Amino acid sequence: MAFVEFRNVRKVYQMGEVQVAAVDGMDFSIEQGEFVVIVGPSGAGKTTVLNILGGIDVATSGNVLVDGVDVAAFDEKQLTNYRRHDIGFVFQFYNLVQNLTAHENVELASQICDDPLDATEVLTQVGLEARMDNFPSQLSGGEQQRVAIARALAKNPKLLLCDEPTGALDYQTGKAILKLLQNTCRQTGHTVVLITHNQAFCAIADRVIKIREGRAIDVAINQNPADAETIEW
Amino acid sequence: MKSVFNRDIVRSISSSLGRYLAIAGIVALGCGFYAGLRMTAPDMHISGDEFYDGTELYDILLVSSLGFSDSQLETARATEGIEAACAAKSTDIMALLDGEQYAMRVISFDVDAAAASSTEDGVHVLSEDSSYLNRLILERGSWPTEADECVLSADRVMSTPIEIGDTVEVLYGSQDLDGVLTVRAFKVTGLVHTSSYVSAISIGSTSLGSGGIQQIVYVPEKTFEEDFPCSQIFVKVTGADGLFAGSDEYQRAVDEVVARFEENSGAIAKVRYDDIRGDAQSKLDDARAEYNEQKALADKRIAEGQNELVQAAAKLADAARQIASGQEQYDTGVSELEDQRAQAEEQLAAARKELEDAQAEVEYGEEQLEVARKELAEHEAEYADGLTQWNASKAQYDEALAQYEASAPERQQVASALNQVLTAKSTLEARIEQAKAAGMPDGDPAMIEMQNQLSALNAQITYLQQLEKEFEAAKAALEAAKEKLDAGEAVLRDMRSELDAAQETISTRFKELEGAKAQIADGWIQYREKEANAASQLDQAQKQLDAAADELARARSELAEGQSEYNRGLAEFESGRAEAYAQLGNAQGELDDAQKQIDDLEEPEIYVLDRTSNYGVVSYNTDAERVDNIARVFPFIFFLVAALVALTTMTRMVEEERVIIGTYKALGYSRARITGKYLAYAASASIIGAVIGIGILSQVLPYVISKAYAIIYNVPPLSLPLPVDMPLALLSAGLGIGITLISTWAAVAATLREQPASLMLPRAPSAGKKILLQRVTPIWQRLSFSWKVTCRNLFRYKKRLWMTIVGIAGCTALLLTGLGLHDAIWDIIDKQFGPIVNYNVVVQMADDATEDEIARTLSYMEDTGDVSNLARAERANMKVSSADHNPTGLIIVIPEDAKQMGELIITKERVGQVPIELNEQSVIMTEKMAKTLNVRPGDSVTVYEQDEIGNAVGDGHTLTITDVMEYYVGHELIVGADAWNQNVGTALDYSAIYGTCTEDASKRAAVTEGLHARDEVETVAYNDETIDSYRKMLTSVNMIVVVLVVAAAGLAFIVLYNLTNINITERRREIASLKVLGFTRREVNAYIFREIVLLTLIGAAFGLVLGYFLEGFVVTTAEVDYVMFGREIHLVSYLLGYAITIVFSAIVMFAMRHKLAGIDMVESLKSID
Repeated sequence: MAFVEFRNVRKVYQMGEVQVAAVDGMDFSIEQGEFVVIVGPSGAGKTTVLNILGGIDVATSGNVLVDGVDVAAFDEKQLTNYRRHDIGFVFQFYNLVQNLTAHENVELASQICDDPLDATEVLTQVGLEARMDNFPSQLSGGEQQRVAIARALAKNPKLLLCDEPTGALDYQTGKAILKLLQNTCRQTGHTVVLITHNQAFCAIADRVIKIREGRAIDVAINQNPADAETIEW
Repeated sequence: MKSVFNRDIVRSISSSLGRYLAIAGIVALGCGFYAGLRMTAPDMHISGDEFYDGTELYDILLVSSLGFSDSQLETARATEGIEAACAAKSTDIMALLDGEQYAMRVISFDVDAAAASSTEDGVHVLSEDSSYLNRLILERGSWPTEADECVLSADRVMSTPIEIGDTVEVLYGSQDLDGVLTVRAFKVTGLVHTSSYVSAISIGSTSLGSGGIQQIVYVPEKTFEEDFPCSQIFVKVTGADGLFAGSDEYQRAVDEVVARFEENSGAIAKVRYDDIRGDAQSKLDDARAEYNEQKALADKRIAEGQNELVQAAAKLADAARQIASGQEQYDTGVSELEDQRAQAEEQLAAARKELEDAQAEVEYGEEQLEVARKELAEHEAEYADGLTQWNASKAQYDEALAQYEASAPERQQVASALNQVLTAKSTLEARIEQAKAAGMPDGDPAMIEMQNQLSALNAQITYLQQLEKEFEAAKAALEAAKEKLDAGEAVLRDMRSELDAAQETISTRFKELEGAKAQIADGWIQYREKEANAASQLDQAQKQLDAAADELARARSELAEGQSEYNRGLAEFESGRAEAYAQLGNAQGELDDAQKQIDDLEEPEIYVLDRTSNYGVVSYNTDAERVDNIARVFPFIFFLVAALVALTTMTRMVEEERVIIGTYKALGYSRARITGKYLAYAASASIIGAVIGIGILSQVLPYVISKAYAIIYNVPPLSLPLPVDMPLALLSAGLGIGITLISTWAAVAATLREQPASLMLPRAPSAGKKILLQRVTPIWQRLSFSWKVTCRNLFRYKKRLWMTIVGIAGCTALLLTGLGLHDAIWDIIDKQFGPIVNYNVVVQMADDATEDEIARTLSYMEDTGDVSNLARAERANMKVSSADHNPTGLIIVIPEDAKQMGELIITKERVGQVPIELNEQSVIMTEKMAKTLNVRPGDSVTVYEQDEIGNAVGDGHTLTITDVMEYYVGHELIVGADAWNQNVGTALDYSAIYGTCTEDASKRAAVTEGLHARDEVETVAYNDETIDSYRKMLTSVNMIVVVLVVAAAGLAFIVLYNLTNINITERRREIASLKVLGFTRREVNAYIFREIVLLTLIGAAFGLVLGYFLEGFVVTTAEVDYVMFGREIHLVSYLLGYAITIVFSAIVMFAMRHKLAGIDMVESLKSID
């Protein structure tokens, strides 16, 4: 059985009198330790899928099995617990707490879970050993995203979910971040799910899931994923 | 102007209703409080004006020391500018109602006009009679019609509620009530409201009781004696009705007429003076003539009486003399009779004794006779025996004799035999002899033969001799017997003769005795006769004496009666004479006094007073001003908070909308137009707030405060809706709206200065910074992230910090003010009674009570066992002035024994509770009065006596204050006896008795009754009654406390809601991030609310400081003259104020939880706002 499995997942939004299905019968699966890229155009339902997988949104119907447990059936408390222990999230806009230093932002996450990694170590891992006591406003975008990744990793999650992590970054920085994520996946064995509209990222993934209009239209296994440094867009 | 821009304004309101309402709310509170409190005073003035006009309260009051006559009333009426005038008679009395003594003022009123008047709303009294002034409003019952009926004021605080039908019993008056009142008891027929005395605390002062009038007794004019002059004339000024009472116009109109009266007062006074003087002199002359007549008559009567008495005395003396001689005679008779009786008794006794002796002798003789008889009989028997024996002896003798005579031959033979033998013998003896002589030896047989023969012869001789002796003895015995017989015969013969002689003697004696007996019997008969004789004679004599004694007794009792009659007559005469002299003396004195009074009569002073001399009106106005003073300061907090709320809220709003602002700018909207949007937003919110706040609170606050004051003033509060004072409303709204708009403009201006391009970019979140606390590593390292964030946040948003701290501080300050005010007011009672005033009863003796009477009352109280700690003092209502202050009333207490009084009045300084020694040199002033007079220990004050109507008289005496003591109710000056004597020197009789009476109601009633029963006791005042009336009065302030607490709650809610709201909306992303990280609800709440908790704690702490000062201000401003409020806020109030603030904050946080829980992670994280 796959590590993550989406079975006929639907997410319907009530927009006034109109019902819009952001996710409309999604089916796919992911194996443990894979670097997965979910790719699709704007409005295809990528973010919704990631949100449902990360437990910050709830599917209208269908099953989302993570490590054999149906996340779609969780109540709010279970979801909080799930996010707390099993999920690491990285956003396009970092979402760091402005009032905490880099180190404190990481500790913010590690403080609440059972088996955290050492904050300093993680920050060293993402290459921020020198900037640990800086506030987010004193860091560049890439550095902030590294802090965000470190924060996600510090929880030692089952799944590391990244929503357009390079979207707000310049090309070089973006590449560096991709490299960091790829390395993390390779070296620590975390399952990483990354969503993007950028087709170029498909090359570095173990598994590529293409999405259009709320459905997975193609799942491809990449036998020889490229190194993140080599791709161009 | 249906532009899209305007639509945007409307939408921005509906999308941020919470914040809009927060602005509206705080403006409503600020404006409403300001307007409401400021309008209270005008509303109170209006209700006063309504009440005064509605009841035709006088504008001017004329008072004269000599009273007024009808002609003066007419003169007054004729004065220009007068609409109406009426007069009233009045006097002060001490009266008993429901068993309690009260000082009361009796005032006459026009009963007919009152009965014809009508009132519908309890404010206006309608009457046809325009000269019916100071109209009364009948609350219940009916108008009095008879002289002994009255109505009382319904607004006075009495210890028991007055019932219709109760009786007011007049005890005594401030003047002699003869010639003043026609009755001495009134039946209460109803209760009225009056505008003349609107204060429930003080009506006026009097010389009676404790110095304050406690009740008004309205009576028909006929209750007063016809001759008793009117004491007051009430005047209504033309056109003053239309002017607002107390306004400058009103005062001008009144002053004009006052001036006219003052000009005329001399003339008016002169008329009265001449009238009274002439009247009085002619009356006096009449009286003097009558006096002389009466005196002559009395003298004559006295002389007559004296004469009669002398005669009577002579008669009595005569009678006494007669009785004395009668007595003498009687006494002689008695002693004579006694003598006679004694004599007779003596004689009788002698006779009796003789008789009895004789009888005894006879009895003795008889006894002896009997003895003799018995002896005789015995001797006779002896004799008979002797005779018999003798006869027998004789016979024996005769026989023996015969025998002896018969033995005669025998005797012859014997005698012859003997002779032969003797011869034989002698022959033999002779032969022997011869033989012997022959020398024959003895042994020779012849010789022996011869010897044997001789011995035989000797034996024969002895035998014959024996026979012979026997014959001899028989012969001697016969002879002896013969002799004995003869002797016996002689004895018997003697005996016989003796017996016969005794027989003879006995019979002689018997005869003698018989004779004596007969004599004695005779003697007894004679004796009895004599005795009877003597007794009857004595009886007769006794009877005569008794009759004489009776007569004497009668005479004597007649004399005693006569004497007592005489004494009675004499006493009567003497008392009559004394009385007559006393009366005459009194009359003389009175006449002299009257003459002196007439001579001394000064032209009357006419006082022209307006309403500024009416205590009720003035203190009502003062209290209204007090509210206004508070109103000027109090809402400051609300306005300050309103400004801060508007500033933070609008800053936040502008920040939220910077992209939109940039867009508008880019689209070419002018700065003014864009600013206009936010100004319009703020303006509409604040206008709505102002209108609602002013609309509601301008009704509620004046209503609540007037209601509170209605407990101490009987001015009917205005009914709802209350008038809205437009200038004040506009001022208040202007302040509120203006402040909001200025804050808004300040918030918008900074942002608008930026270029559109930079506005289009999301504004960098305000940077995290190291704060000072971080440098204190040991503390910082111990803090959790939430605390770190909290601490950094607090300093990141300074405007919000101040808004919240000021708002919360304001809330706590208001709470503390409310609670502190409550403390201050209840402390009046709690700190005064017990900690300071340790007595609960003061017994005031009458002015003329003697030392003896006071001492007796004192010991009576002691003896009841229910009153302890008794101490005497002089107690007087006096006036006192200082360098900075005119004379004002207080009670002077001069303890007889300062040390003793020190146990009943605990003298101490308030600050530090330092005890003050009360000694004979002390001059201790109570704190409030010292503050009013602005004197400190070492300063001098002047004390004055006061006259009937409470004016200071004389030059006064200077005293130097030694100490100022804590004291809350009333004003006192405690002066040691030495200090008094040295500086003032008026006589002290210590006629007040202080004591501590048992709480037991029935025992206390008994003590009180006992005291009232004593003539020399004037008043018995328990301070429990004072406590009760204060309690009632002060509950009014609780309403204000409620208002303050509600306002505080409002303030706290708005500020905290606003803060939380801003915090949450601004930090949606952060909160969403935390949620994504897996923070639980509770952790998220704690993360956000920690900040509010901290600010609440800090703000509340500031609030306690602010509240301390605010409370101080309110207390000193709200204080009334007569009392000093407590100056301390209790610890409990601090704690409570703090705790309630925290509770408010907790409520807000509880309510905001949902908003926090409702933050959607997906929406919040989608993009940058």
